[in-house]
Amino acid sequence: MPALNTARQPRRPTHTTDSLHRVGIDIVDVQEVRAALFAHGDRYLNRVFTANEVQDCSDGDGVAPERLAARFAAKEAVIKVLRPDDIAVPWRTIETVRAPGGWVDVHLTGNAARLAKEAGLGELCLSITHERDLAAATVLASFHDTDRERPTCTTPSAPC
Amino acid sequence: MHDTIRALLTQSGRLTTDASTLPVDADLYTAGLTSHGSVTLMLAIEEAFDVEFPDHMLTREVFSSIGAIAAAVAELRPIPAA
Repeated sequence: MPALNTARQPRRPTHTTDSLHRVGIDIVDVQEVRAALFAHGDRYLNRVFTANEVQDCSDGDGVAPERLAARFAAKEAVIKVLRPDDIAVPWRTIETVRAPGGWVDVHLTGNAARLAKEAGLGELCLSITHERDLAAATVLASFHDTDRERPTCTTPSAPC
Repeated sequence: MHDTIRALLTQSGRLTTDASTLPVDADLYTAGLTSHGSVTLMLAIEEAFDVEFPDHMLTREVFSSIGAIAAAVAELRPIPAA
């Protein structure tokens, strides 16, 4: 497997319609997570989730599959924003952090953080949700460089 | 090894097509492998072949086909003593 090429160019937008943001979305079947927990237990938890994430998903009855599913959806939504191609992004390098107010933030480490930096991405805004059977996440990422040329309308009457 | 991987795909991959007849080079994502399905498949393969995928091998490409998975497992398995 090729090692991370740290010398490559930043993955910035190459088209004006790839404007100031990237968005990622993912949906996860909670039953798949429940089955993985049953089949692989701690191996599954330890390979995919950080200790803090497992703690956030746990209560007196153990770990809640629907909460894990929402966090897995968050990881995949972030990967869609990072666009890693053939670069490995281990799941634990994308951590969902629950804020005291109840919302969630994303903390990147390792290759995930490196890809975000190379792309010029700044803050990632995350929203997650779950029902009994499905969990989903959306991530909105903004580019750092505000002086970068903004998209322009080619048709004067078109809204921009 | 290919048939074992096909069996694990049937058990863990939750494909939308029949894994038992998939060609070695068929794209598993096109066949219905989800991102979470690739996790459970990876764990099942590790248990079946007594290997562990290192972080640098956790790419979409490694789990893209039966052949790619077999190549990765072969790389991870120790070479038998002569």
